[in-house]
Amino acid sequence: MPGLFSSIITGLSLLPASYEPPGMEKRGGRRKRRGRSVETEFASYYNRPVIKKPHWVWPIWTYFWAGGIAGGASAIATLAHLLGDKEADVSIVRAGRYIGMVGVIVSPVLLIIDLQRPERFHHMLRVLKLRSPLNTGTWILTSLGVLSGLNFARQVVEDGIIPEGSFLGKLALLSSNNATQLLQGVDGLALGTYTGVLLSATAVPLWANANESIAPLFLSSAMSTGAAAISLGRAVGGVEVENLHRLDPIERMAIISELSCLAYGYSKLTPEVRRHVTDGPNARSFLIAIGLGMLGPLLLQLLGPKKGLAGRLTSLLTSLMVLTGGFFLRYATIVAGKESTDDPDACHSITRGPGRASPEEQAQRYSTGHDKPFEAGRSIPEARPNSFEAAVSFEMNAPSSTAGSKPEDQTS
Amino acid sequence: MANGFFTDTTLCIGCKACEVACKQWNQLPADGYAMTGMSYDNTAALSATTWRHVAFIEVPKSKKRLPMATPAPPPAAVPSADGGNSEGLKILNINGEASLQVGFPDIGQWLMMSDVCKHCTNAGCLQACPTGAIIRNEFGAVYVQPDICNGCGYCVPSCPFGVVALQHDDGRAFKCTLCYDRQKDGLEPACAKACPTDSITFGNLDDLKMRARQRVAELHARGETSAYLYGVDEETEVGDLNAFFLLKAEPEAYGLPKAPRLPQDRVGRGYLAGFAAAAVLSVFSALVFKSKR
Repeated sequence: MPGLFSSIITGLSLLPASYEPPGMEKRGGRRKRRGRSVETEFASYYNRPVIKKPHWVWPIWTYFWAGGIAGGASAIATLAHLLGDKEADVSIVRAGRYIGMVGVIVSPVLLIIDLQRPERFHHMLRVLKLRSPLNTGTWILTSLGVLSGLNFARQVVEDGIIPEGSFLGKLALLSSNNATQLLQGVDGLALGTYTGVLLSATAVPLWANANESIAPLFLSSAMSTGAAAISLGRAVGGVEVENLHRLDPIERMAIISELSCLAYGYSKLTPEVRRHVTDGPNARSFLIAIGLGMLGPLLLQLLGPKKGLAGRLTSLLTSLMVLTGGFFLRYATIVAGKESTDDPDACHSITRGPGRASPEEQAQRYSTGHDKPFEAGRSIPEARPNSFEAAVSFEMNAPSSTAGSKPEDQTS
Repeated sequence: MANGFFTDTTLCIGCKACEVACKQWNQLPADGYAMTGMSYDNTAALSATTWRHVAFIEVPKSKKRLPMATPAPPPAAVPSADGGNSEGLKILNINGEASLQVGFPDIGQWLMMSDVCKHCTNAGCLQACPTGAIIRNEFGAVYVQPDICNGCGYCVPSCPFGVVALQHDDGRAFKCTLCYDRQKDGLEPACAKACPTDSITFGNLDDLKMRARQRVAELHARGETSAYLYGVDEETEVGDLNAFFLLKAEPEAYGLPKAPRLPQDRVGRGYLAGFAAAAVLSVFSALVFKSKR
């Protein structure tokens, strides 16, 4: 069964081993948090958070969900358009283009609502930074907006809403082709991926610790929810029942990939971080995401009826379940991540490792060569010279009077 | 050449002059009258309106005096009551053992540390900023340009030290500027200027580091063997810190990560894993569409 086989590859083998901070012991040999060694005696600063949590609330998880649907629907519509049956799969392309269009209209609105200075949203587009997933994602979403628009316009003309002979109709047909559709598909996949990278590239313990499993998880969820949205549209739109279950294998495959990513990511979490997934309301949200959005539809698709009204209702129901589960997956991931930032133990559990020489080693090093610059591991970035340096000189090298001497600004 | 702070916590007396000077100079609003109820520290944390924060850690000598079950004192960091540096007057019992020490035998010690933005060599906030509002300025400091920031808030979870924050009535992100305006005029930052014990020193980083290393060696020679530098000569992902510290206890005690990690080191791996999944799912979907129905 190709589905199961490749999902195992997706979830486990293809992914690189998770990052371990230098010197961090492997699981099993990891130090206990308290009471064993001097190193872990002060577990935290009065149990106060080490890092700050993002302010993100409903617009963000709704966007991750809606953007994922748009991305997945775009990708599936593209594949159906380029490779699918010219008769039977037309409705997939149509639904995918409409859903993609709605998604890329809703998504920027949600993102701009979330900005604390919404009137400055266009500042996102004044630079291109590949190390900043939020910036890259803005470019992905912007380009997807343009591409979806072009292909959507073609669909509108093909559906006869705008007459083919009219100026607008000609323009729409002229400005879109298989290449724009292909680009939309690739862009859609990028949109589904970057939201996961966005989360893992933070200091938030849960997201940082789950590391490279979040991006494939969100991408897979984008594919499953995108397929579900298209199936929902087709079921409502009255596509014949024999044709309705066309996307089911894709949905199942994406769900299996999601489950693999979840299992892999979960296995990488430290016990301190894992608490925020397994305890309290977060556990409930994750269980809804898994039960309602993954296991339920999987079983329903495999065992449920395929023909007649029952088959149509089953398709409708599984689509709704996948869509709801996808929403809860984004919601649970963000809420549990935010909760984990408040936990200093979770923060410290992912930033262990020596990092520096012990006090004794430092003293030994410094007692011999402190009068000349030390060979540091990384050098300090050179700042541009300025008038300040000419104006100010510091009396620094007074021997062994570190406590008393202080750079004095001569201009004051 | 980059400038920075060297904060020597062994000289800190917890006067909070740095906090006040920072607020005064930068015209930062008050944070209200909230009490933490945990220690002398009611500032609690760095925020958008608090760019210096003095942490107070009360280290008791015996666990009996501990107000809470946790945190327990680090035995290595606390000189023992009858150990090497017994400066108080000892009263010996009949067996010659110290039975009472005049002075403050059970009070332990204070660890105080004036925390500030670290202005990392590899700064998570700077790399995360999607608008390019966060830059490295000509003094080597990580600086948020308030006219560019659009309050997306992505720098906030990207800082491995929890420094930068959104100011909620304003909407933008704020943090220590290393007194950019004062440096422009050839003045040292307000906190360093105000510090009465020179716990905070400002200057050229090479000079500061030399001075800091010298200080560690000196403290160890005096028997203060727990002193070490945090943020210098390290192999962490964030690189050397332009605001670095001389500490006496484990970094966790001060609320600092032991080995801070640069979030953006995970970007490449994330995309790689995501695109691998995308490729597999696309190929599978293509097979589905190609298959006979």
